[in-house]
Amino acid sequence: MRSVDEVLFSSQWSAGDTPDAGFFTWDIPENILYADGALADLFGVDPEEAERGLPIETYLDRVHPDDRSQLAKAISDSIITHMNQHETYRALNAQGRYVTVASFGRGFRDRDGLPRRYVGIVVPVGEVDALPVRLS
Amino acid sequence: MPKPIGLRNLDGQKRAQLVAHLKHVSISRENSMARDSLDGPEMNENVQAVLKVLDDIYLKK
Repeated sequence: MRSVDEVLFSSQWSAGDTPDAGFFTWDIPENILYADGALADLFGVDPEEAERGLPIETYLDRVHPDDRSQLAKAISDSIITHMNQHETYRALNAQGRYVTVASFGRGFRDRDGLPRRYVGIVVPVGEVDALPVRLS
Repeated sequence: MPKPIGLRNLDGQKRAQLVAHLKHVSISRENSMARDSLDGPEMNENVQAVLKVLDDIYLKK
């Protein structure tokens, strides 16, 4: 996996030209992930539904099949070990094209030590597959 | 002493089943210590359910 610096340095976009990063907060026990419009666009999800909250499977379904399992494991490991998570993977965006994104997240626990919240940011890195993807 | 079973000697379906089982065992071992180390009461059922969703997606690869 590339480092954060490598990912950001290799971005196609220059400072000031960078598309919006997407923010999210995930209620782990309820499995409801609340996301802003930028994240909804990166994953091709309806912005209003994203803001009202969707299960994490909705977003993982939009991750490239070759990247999905590793991302799921990284998130699981992050919750269990209470370590920060950062991954680079491809997401199917609102235009039906895979865009490479870098995600950074971490979990938070309640007073009883139970995983409760997971917050993060997803940054488009700018490498988009050349061919558009047909949405089913 | 029985000969070890090589993955190459298994047919496709048995090999896939064994690989899936080994992945599951691996995940369980990797996570069991970390899960046990969680402070406080055991993780509630909802959190376990979410972790199972993630594990299932990982095992599908």
